[in-house]
Amino acid sequence: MNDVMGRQILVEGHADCVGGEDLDPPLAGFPLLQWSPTDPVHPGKVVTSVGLARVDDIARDAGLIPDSKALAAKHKTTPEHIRQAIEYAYQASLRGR
Amino acid sequence: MTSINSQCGSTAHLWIYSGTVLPRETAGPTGSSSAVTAGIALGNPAFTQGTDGTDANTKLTLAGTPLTAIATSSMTPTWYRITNGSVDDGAHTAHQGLAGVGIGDLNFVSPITLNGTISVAFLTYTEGNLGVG
Repeated sequence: MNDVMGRQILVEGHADCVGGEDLDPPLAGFPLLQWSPTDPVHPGKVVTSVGLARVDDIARDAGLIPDSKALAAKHKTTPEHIRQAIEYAYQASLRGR
Repeated sequence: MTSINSQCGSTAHLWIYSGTVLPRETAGPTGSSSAVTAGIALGNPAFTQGTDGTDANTKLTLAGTPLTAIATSSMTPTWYRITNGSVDDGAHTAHQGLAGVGIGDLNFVSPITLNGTISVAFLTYTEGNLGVG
């Protein structure tokens, strides 16, 4: 049996981000959300990483569409993004945001 | 494997993104999906070959580390791309891979926060033979 030789590539790297201004509540516990003051579509608004749907829009629609799959379809994202968006909106509301 | 420096050219940039990984031929996302608006400039050459490297086991390490930049958004990184030049329009992709917090080829200790200092400590490619049969 002949040897079949292929190539494999191992990639490893390490990075960090120190300091900075995070939102209140912070996004650290919401890996599927993101925010930028210079976002070309939704500047200064927390959005989902897939679909770029605004958290406040999702929270508003959640009262009208009590189904995460339907909400996800409307906002072109996933049910897990919807869950994080609603959780974030809820925590922000507790802080009077 | 050493051809990665040829692919990167003399003005390569590193881009860190969140969200769904895009095809190599697709332009990188902008706004809150991008950790640094203009990318992070890499050295020339972008990678340094280790002295322990051979044709069958080549180690290429990102040069000039730590590379730093100021974040322009708050997000959790999910993937990265290295471009030949300073424009990520999908036509200059040299390489891309997965990033994350605690996972991925480019492993971040914490999420990225606006105006925080992003520091890339190292990024290494090691090529080896894969014997089958």
